[in-house]
Amino acid sequence: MGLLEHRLEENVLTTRLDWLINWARLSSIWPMTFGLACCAIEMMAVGAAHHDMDRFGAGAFRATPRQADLMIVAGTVNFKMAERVRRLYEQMPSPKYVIAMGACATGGGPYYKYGYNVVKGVDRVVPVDVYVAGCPPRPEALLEGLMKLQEKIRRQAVLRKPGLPEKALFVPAPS
Amino acid sequence: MYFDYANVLVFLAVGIGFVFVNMALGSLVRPHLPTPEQKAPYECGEEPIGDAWIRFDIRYYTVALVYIVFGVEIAFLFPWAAVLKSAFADERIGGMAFLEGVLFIAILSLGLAYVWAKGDLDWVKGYSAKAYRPVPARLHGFQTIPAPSKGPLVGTGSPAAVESATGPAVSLGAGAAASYEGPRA
Repeated sequence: MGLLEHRLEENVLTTRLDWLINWARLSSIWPMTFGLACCAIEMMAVGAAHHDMDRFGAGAFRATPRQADLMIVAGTVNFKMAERVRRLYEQMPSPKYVIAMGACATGGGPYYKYGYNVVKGVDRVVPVDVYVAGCPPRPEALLEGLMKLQEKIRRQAVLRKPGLPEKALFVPAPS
Repeated sequence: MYFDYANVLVFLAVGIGFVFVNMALGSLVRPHLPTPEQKAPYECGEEPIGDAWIRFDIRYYTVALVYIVFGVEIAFLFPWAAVLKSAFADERIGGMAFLEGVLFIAILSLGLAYVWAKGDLDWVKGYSAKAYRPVPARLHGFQTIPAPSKGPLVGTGSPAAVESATGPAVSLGAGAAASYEGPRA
């Protein structure tokens, strides 16, 4: 806990200040350059010109966890990688967020039954904020996941005392 | 007036102050949740092994020095090549500019030739073809020949000369000794 964080009562001033701080945070989410499998191709498409993740302030993919706010787990997490994922998550500075992208990162995906080496969902390793369904998800789905994460950050309490912790959000697969 | 440069001072003060004010503001509102991993060196998610301040091979310094030859060459020859065509249009400076470029390349090539002759282009220095001297056979334990500084170099000695200098080979069969022709070049 920081010096002022979560220490102030709720009033007009703290609400506005929280809005401002949250606006700053959600407008400059820097993801980590981190792709594990084919979902990463879609993630690259989101970062590229056609879908242009930079419109949301999230286009600066950082090559080190020290500068990253968001970890997009794009792909299959096997047990060997899970340790590294956890360590990379620990190396990110707070506040930090995780998007589980695709079926594998959400719950093991096609490897759920026979994938002896696959972690059945990255939420067994790191806390996940937004799940994005799909195998792989369309770039639009990842963008929606990013927008949902921004909505979540917008509701955060920074200086105010926090309420109940918010549950993870889902981007369902298109029917 | 010197006071005109007060703009610079104002810019400097605002620039320096901006950093510290923002860092102070950030320390007020940011969460403080340190983890031991954040203090560890970052090695792409791997557990760091050993110290980050390792020694590395001194031969890299030679590589860096040799790089200067090519680095300086590129840095100066690109603009030279870009303006050479227009320099040739002026007959007073065209030939001179070309000759100066050639001289520059020649001087740098001299440096490269020096490095090459000294054997610094070989990663294991001293194993260049010129300096190569094979291990004397006596170190292998089956024949005694004189020390390499006095003895024949590769290809100049004959088995008979070696035999006369050292006596017959021991511990080998007669056929093997007869068929031994000395170390091959």
